[in-house]
Amino acid sequence: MTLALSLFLAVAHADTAAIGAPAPDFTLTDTDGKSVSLSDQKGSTVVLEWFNPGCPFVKYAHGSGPLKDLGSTWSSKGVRWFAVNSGAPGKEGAGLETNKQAKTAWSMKYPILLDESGKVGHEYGATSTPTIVVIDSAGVVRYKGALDDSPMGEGAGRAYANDAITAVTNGGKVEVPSTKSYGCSVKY
Amino acid sequence: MIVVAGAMAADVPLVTASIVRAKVEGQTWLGVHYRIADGWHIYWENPGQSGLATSAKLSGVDAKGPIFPGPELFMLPGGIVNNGYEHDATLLFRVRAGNSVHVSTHWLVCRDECIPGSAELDASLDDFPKKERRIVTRAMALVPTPVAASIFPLAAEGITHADVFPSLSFEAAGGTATAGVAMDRVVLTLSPIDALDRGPIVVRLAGPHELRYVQVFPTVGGSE
Repeated sequence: MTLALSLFLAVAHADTAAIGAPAPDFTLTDTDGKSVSLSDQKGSTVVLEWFNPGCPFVKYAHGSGPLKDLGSTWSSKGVRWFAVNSGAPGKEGAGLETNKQAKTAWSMKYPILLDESGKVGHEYGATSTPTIVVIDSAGVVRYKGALDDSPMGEGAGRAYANDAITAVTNGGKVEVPSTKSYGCSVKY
Repeated sequence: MIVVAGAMAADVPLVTASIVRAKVEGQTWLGVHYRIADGWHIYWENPGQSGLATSAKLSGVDAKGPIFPGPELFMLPGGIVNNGYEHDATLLFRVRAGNSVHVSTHWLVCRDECIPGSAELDASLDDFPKKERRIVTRAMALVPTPVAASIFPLAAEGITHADVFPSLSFEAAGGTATAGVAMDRVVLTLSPIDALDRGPIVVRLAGPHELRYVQVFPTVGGSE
């Protein structure tokens, strides 16, 4: 119990990406070796998609589900969309080659950022893949949670993340700013 | 009667689902019983910080459920908390009427990685084998008993560990709760103080010879 509690609190404290608060800045390297900083994206809506190409929920979402086109479509409309893989070296879905292959296989037209230390994942309180974080053009967190209400396509089809991005890019109110994520644990 | 659902292309399925039946004090119970490979776990109704709730849907009978037995706590790398079951688990249904039943069940089974699985099961409720009854009654004993928060602090006789499992509604409303054993008492700490108004929590009370669960509501009679 003591162990469980202290670990839980450690995560809770590290998670500083609260809805309505400034998004924690980070600098990570993508699979092409390019350095990406959140602070360089100011003025654009940013979407962070916690990613693990070995996770069945991610495989479904990118293979035939909503992420097949969603990220690439929003990217073409000026949204800065980044997949973030917080898997530790050697864990499922981690590693440069694995992620390069996934990017090609799923025709992802946006960068995959590697966060092997898990620092950014912890700062954003990411516990499962897929988890979506939407940050507005002023750098404020506006949505955090599940992609939708339909794990593996089973559900009512409410597209929480897409609704939030639509609202943020239109300067509107995010109706549901926080949902419970589902999926595989992030492989810290 | 027993249907094996291959969750992956391996020799041994990670999860095997079957229907178990029992008549207990005149009440017909149906259980969906999952046998889980060593080292793997499936999920409670609130899976925790990752995972997916196990689901079971019945057709052909009038039944109430699923009723989830109390879960175990799993700590994953990175401090990720999961609520679920290892080795085996049984989701229960109280059957009001009907005989021929079809069960559709989905689960996510995880270890280092996660694999979704599902099974379609059929049974008739006119036969109640003893072997199945044992599984049903064992699961019934692990279903949380509804209690009022005023039972805390609780005399900790035989109890050495207490763990809290928030309901989805409690968690979604931002309530937090911890339980601990100190000075022969199980103490529950809630934040905010009226957090249970947002939804109940389940407390697992465990000791060397004891394992039971209570579902804590703000007041008596707030149970259902």
